[in-house]
Amino acid sequence: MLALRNIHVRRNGRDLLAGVDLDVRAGQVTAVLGPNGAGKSTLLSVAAGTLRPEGGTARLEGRALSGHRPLELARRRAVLPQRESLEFGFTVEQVVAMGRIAFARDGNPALDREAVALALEAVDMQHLAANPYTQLSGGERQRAQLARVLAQLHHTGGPQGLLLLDEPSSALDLSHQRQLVLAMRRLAGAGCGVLVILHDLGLAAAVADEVLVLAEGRVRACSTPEAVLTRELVADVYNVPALVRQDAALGHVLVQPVWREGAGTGAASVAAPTQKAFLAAAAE
Amino acid sequence: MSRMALDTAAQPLAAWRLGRRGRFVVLGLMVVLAFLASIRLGAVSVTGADIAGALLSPLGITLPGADAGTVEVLKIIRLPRAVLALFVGAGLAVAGAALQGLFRNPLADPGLIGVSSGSGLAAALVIILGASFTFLLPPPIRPVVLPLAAFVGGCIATVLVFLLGTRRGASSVALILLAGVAVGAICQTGIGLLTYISTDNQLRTFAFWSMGSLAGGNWAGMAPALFLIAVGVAVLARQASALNAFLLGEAEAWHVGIDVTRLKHVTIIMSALVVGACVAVSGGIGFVGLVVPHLVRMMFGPDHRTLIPASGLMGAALLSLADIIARLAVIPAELPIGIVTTLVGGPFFIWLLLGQRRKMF
Amino acid sequence: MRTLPLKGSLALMALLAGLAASRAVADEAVRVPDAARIVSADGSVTEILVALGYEDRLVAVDTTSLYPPEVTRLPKIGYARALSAEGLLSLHPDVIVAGHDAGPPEVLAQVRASGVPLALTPAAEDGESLAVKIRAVGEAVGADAAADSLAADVEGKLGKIETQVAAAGTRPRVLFLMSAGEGAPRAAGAHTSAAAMIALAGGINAAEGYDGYKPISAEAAVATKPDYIVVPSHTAAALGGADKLAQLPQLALTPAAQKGNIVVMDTMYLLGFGPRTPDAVADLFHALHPGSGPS
Repeated sequence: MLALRNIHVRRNGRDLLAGVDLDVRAGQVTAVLGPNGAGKSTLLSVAAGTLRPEGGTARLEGRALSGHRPLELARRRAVLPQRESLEFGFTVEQVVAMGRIAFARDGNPALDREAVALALEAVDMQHLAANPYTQLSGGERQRAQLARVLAQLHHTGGPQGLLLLDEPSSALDLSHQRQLVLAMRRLAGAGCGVLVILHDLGLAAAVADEVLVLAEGRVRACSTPEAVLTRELVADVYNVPALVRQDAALGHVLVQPVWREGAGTGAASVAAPTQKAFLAAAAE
Repeated sequence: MSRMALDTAAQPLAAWRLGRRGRFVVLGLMVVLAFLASIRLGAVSVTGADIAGALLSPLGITLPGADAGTVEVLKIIRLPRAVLALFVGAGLAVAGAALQGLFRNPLADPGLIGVSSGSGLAAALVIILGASFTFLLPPPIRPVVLPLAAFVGGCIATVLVFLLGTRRGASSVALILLAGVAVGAICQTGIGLLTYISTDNQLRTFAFWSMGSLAGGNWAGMAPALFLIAVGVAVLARQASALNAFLLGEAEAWHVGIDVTRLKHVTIIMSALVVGACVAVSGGIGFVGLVVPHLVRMMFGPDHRTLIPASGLMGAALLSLADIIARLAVIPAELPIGIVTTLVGGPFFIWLLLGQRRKMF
Repeated sequence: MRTLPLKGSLALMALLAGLAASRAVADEAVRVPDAARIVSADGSVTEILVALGYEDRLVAVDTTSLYPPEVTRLPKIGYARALSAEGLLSLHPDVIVAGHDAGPPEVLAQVRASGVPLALTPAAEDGESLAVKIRAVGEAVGADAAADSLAADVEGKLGKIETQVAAAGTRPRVLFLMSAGEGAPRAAGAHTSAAAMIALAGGINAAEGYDGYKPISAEAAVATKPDYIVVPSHTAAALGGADKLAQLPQLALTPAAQKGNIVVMDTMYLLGFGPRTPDAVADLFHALHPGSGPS
């Protein structure tokens, strides 16, 4: 669906991205991980078509991104920004409906209304539809923006296209994080491609079919979560010790950073009861 | 924080149910009433028969009850003036609404893109130095040198702001804002310089010009400006949906399918043409472009699909009312209309800022 | 697309220019004898009309009409360069008599188009043009004979002063200050009413070298070496009297201030160029030539 090859982006003499390859396939969720400044958001901008890379090719459905007009792109992919800056008092419903601008010329207001209603439902915000956006909490704003991009992907036969998300879970509570995970899986299940930047390794392990780890503008690893998310990689990329374990009950790997000083450094030092309790808690 | 959160759209659901159409009907009635009052009221007293006579006379019908002299006053002075008020009010308000959207700042004003200061400098040039170059121009242009210069000056200043704010084909809204301030300051300095070499009479003429007046309205002279305003307003109204998306952020607007470069170009050029045309025929009229979109946002919400047409209607109605005040306040003289709009708009603006402060602290 | 609006605006400019050609205004001599309702849009015109005995027929005047004081009670049509067409028409004047600088032009065109006679009188900058202006005002209201005799009277008086000026021999340097006190004083340069009055009264305008009323620095004021400083009454009043003016640091070092040669004259009387001008010239002449004695 989306194919980035050998992407190079330089700013002020510094390589933000140096030779990055990335594929987002239809029906798959690809998570991008990496420490601050690794180039994750830059990569997302290249994928969105907002940023034209100095080197490499970026293709959507076989055609160069730069060859698409904004309107054509908007009908095939939606982008959820990391930060939003809407300071005018639109209602939540009006904000979500902005996702349908690219479809205005189709003259199908019924489909637009359906898209908005379904998107509001998906983020659990029907009851806030008429509220002013500016009076929402940070998490509610994030959900409203998510609804906007969901509405943008809505087509007659269900969701279609490519979804790019930049840290969509940062302001969400647990229940809405889970809702987000389910939404991403549902989109992938319907045939959409999803590219999501995440900080939470556990969330990435749970939602992604493929994990790409960026560090200093280069791909450090790119494969299934099981293959990528090892304690060695976490220690190497983030300089943080972690417990990693495949869990049959959950169906994906568990990644738990070791928070306390002195605990969990090196496999031998992990106290059995700690690990047992952790796994027990996770299994519930 | 360069932007200000203006929560002007706390729209109760009930008001939405009142319906877009219903609210437009109310606004439309306001415009009609203001226009009728604008024809009816003035230093010369007119009757309904006179008005009917004036309206029928282009058809060759002479109404027996109408006073011939008063009909002439209506046709030559009041009707063109009333029409001019509608167009200039609508033009300034719509350009203001569009620019506030583009700058994503509810406190933006047409002055920000340099058009007002450019027009002012050009007008000062003509008023103060006109005698030394008008004779070089072809005779047909001479009587309209001032409006023409004001229009061209406004456009040149805007193009300059635009070029300064554009790098490698991409215009930065923040850079344009800064360039607008710089060009405005340079124009003001130019005006100061011209003021220095002006005679007292020229200075007073310029002072009156910059306070605005709709008194010069005559059909032939204002037709091109009206045409330009109408075209510009129509084009700006077509950008409504794109301007909505632009409020999400420039990148976000692009993501939902807006050609943001084109949007910026069209909005700035069209606003400059509209404001330039308004300034050319009416001089400097302040606060309409700033305050009217605000009023509309408070009543209708920030959606440009409503905001732009509603601002046009409200601008037309309010400027008509301001002009009625201007011509009735000191009969048989009249106030510059810019004084009226600023007297009303200034305190309103302060009130807005106070409301803003309350929200911030 | 990007260039379209610009091209369009160029086309519209051409359209504007074309339309402008259709609205040329014809200037023809205006003459309304027996006008019962007269509006004056010029301070000096008002004085001339009053001198011609038309005070009772004046129905409104502009804001520069301040003499005689009775006319200030009439309705005001505003500043002469920012007139209101409807305001003028609402007074139902038989004739409007204005100065050369009345405006704006669009309003004058509207007034003419509505059929009200509007007479623009020429500028008066010296004795000769003053006589022409008096005759023009007289013609507009059909008072040619009275205007002729007033003009002759004015010319006669001015001629008499001219003789006195020639006899006086000395030509004192005179600095006219339109304003003083707030920042740099504004002095009258060439081509000003003040310069014309100074010349008529046998003085030399000290601040030559520029046109109009311009701010001058304290040093420049000293360098003009004025024997007399003339100020209009409103300027002296704003400062609290002629003595205060002489004490201003910007002026204290001038010969005029040190000798106390400060002349205060009523603004319109001195600068208005009307029927009172010969008297004003005479007053100024005597003030500048103390030895010449009253005529």
